[in-house]
Amino acid sequence: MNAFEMITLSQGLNLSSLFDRQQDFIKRQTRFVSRKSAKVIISSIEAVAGSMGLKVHTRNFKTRLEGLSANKAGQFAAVIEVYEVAPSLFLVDVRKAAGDTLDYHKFYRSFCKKLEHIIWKPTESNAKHGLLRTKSCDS
Amino acid sequence: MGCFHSTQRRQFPGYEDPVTLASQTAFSVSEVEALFELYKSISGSLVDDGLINKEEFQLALFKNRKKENLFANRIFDLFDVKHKGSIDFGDFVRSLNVFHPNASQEDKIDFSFKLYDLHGTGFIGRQDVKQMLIALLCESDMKLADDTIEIILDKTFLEADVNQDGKIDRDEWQNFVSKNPSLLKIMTLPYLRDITTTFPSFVFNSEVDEIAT
Repeated sequence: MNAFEMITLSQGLNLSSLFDRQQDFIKRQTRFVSRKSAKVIISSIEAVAGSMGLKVHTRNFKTRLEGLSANKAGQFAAVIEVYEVAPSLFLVDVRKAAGDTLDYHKFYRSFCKKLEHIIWKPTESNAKHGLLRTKSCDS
Repeated sequence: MGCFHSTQRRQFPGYEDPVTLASQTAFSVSEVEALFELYKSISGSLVDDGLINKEEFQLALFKNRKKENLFANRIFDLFDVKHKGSIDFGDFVRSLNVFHPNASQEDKIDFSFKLYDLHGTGFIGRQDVKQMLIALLCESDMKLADDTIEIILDKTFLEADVNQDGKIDRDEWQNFVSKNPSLLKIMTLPYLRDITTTFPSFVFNSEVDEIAT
């Protein structure tokens, strides 16, 4: 993965939010980090999505989830991409592809709850690991 | 005689009429009118001066007027074509034009090059990329060790910096982007095709003289 691929994930470069009429900041683009292998990440995502009643299509490291919106009146779709940032460190980018942003937010919340076993959360102890040392965010 | 457009020009400095803007961009007249509805809501959100200032831009993008972001700053600076610290309606439409699905690849490549050339040197330097990468990691609450960052930069420059002079010039960027087309996905907003349904404006806005309403 090159630096520019990561840079394009920035919220500041996602001008589609300008067209959002909602007042509260509802992220349409969300991501998490995982230390599991890419295979495990993808198969976990597929399993969880399936259990949520969504159709799953995966190609390379890109997965598309499709289903009906919460009120069954419209479409819902999300696209998930897995990027290898460093050995055994993966960035999983999830974004809404179709449907209501509020639905997407609800979906993302319950999606992440079910994926807790693969989502890596920095804690005091594991922050001292070689790959991730605290670095000041001075940007 | 108060024609609609001269009233708009008083309230919205830099206002240009939709017919002119449509003729110079990929937008139709009704799409420019719809963009005006969007522009009005953003430019009037904090200060009612008919212009979009930095805070109003941040508010529109992040729903948080105080949120500072390196990339949003770059976009703002590029949209602020005349470097006056604010975005007027003409700037808004012409800048968004580059993001239209029908805009040329060349324009999109130009814009993205200027976007990442943080200090306007005419090159994308290694320090620029490092600064942007760190900004992205902060945004994602991810921190990587210095050496990991250097490895990512090395890999990137190995591929992009063909003459290995430590910086990416306009031709190298064009070449790099043609090999990695997903890098330009941020430069297209499919929403612009549906703008008239998301921001309906009433057609008679542009046809009826102000006096008659």
